[in-house]
Amino acid sequence: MVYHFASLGEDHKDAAQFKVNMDTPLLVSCISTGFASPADDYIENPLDLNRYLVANPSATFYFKVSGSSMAELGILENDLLVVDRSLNPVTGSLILIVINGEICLRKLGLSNSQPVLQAFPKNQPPIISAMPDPAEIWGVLSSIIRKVL
Amino acid sequence: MYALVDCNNFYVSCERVFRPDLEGKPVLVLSNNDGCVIARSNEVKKLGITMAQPYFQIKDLVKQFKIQVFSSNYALYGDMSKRIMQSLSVLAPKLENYSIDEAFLDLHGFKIDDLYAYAHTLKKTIKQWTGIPTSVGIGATKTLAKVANAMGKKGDGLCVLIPEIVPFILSQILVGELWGIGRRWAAQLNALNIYNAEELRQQNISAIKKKFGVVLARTVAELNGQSCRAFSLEVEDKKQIISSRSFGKSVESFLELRQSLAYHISRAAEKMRAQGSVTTAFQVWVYGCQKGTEGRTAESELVKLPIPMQHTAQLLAYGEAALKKIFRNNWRYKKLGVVFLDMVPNFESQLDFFDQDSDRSSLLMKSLDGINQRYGKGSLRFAAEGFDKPWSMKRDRSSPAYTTQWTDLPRAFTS
Repeated sequence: MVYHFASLGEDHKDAAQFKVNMDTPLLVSCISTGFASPADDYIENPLDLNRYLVANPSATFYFKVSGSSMAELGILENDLLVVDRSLNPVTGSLILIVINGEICLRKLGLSNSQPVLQAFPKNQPPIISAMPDPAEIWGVLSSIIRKVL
Repeated sequence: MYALVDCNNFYVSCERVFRPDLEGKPVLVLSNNDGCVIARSNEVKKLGITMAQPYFQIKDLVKQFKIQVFSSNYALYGDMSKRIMQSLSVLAPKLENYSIDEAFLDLHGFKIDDLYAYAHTLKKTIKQWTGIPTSVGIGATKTLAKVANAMGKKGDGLCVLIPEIVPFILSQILVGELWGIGRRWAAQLNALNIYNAEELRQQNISAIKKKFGVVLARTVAELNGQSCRAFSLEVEDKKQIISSRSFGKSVESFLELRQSLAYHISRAAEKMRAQGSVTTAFQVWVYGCQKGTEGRTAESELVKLPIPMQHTAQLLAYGEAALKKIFRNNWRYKKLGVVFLDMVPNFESQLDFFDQDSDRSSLLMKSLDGINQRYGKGSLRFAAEGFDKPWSMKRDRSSPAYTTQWTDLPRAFTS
């Protein structure tokens, strides 16, 4: 049952003070028993994959890969892509770009000091095409994630 | 100075971020149950389709002009809205999240010369980070920022209302178009030969206050550059939470009605716990009519709880008893809802001290909400909600939850 504090009156307040909430340990060891843990001085936050992979959460989106033609680059069908829209692409960036209304994965290359787009058809050399309107760039790939189980 | 950042055709723009093929094509979004139009692309506006127009009226136009129609996808719109507000909070010192697609920024301390460039940065950054186009209006007060935003929408989406041009701009706007002035006030003002916003601005504030009350007097002051509308940084805890929906098709059995009740109590209780409140009373209502007749009759029952509650199972027990009282055989029900009233903050920490039971039950609720947050709405729920939900709402044309469900992620094509 849930009780509203006010409904139980003042008497319970004192008795209540003796129970301590143990959900959030402030120290690794209990104070009352013997020696303090030598680790107490070195408590750090656990590693957080979100912080490792996502620099700007408001601008980060996830995609799944369709197609296996970029296997050579280590990108397989159904891989999870982390895409950061706030990054500016540079030569060598893997980018998502809108081509004929579809969101496609491509690589930004350089040819005769001009930026070009590289596509990777299966078992064929890359197709180089002129860089389209930068407004068509959807975002920049920042990580590729693959579960192996 | 204040800025108003307003997303252009927000729901349509959200759909287009993940469907770039729909850029430049007519797109509209329907309300819950696919009842009427609640968002239109510019192409749809040009066809003369109006806001809140019932869907059945425009089915021919939809066919003829190949309009892309979506059911509303609030999981997507809510997430995109959160991203926009977060992005703005990085760019502005103070932010008021005014609605799902609008935010006011307090720009005190900015130099006027920089304002246009600042507005441009806001618009460009939001577009790049989230894909959503916005309009930015800047003015001396929130009311003037609203005016500036409407002006901006007619051009490149940016407008800074510097004091020198305020009279001219206001003379171009009818009083009825101003923020907070409805049809009734507009008619009364017109009767006094006050037609445009500039004519209203020049009125004597105390005379307006006498005739129309303090709200309109504040608007006049705001048009004159005196800030009157409070800037609220924090979203206040809601004192009431409502969950209700029309049924996809009529419901006659108590069992189905009870499932719908369980669904709405679960949703409302989840929202209530999210803001850390407990409720002391709630109301259950239904709309329906006797079989063979038309029309809508409302029936409702108020439930007063013996103690404040937040546990779904307890609320369900009281809700079911209330529903039994108002349920009638031989009726067809069209809508059911619950509203939680008299909510108060949950003094859970104090309760934990002496009430072992409440400790466990609130822990259970915390786990329930945590699991649903992680694995998607309704992953874990009370069996009372039922399983196939024949009463659930019609959402035939909803797009995937691109940003909130692992199963719904958009695709990137390698060739």
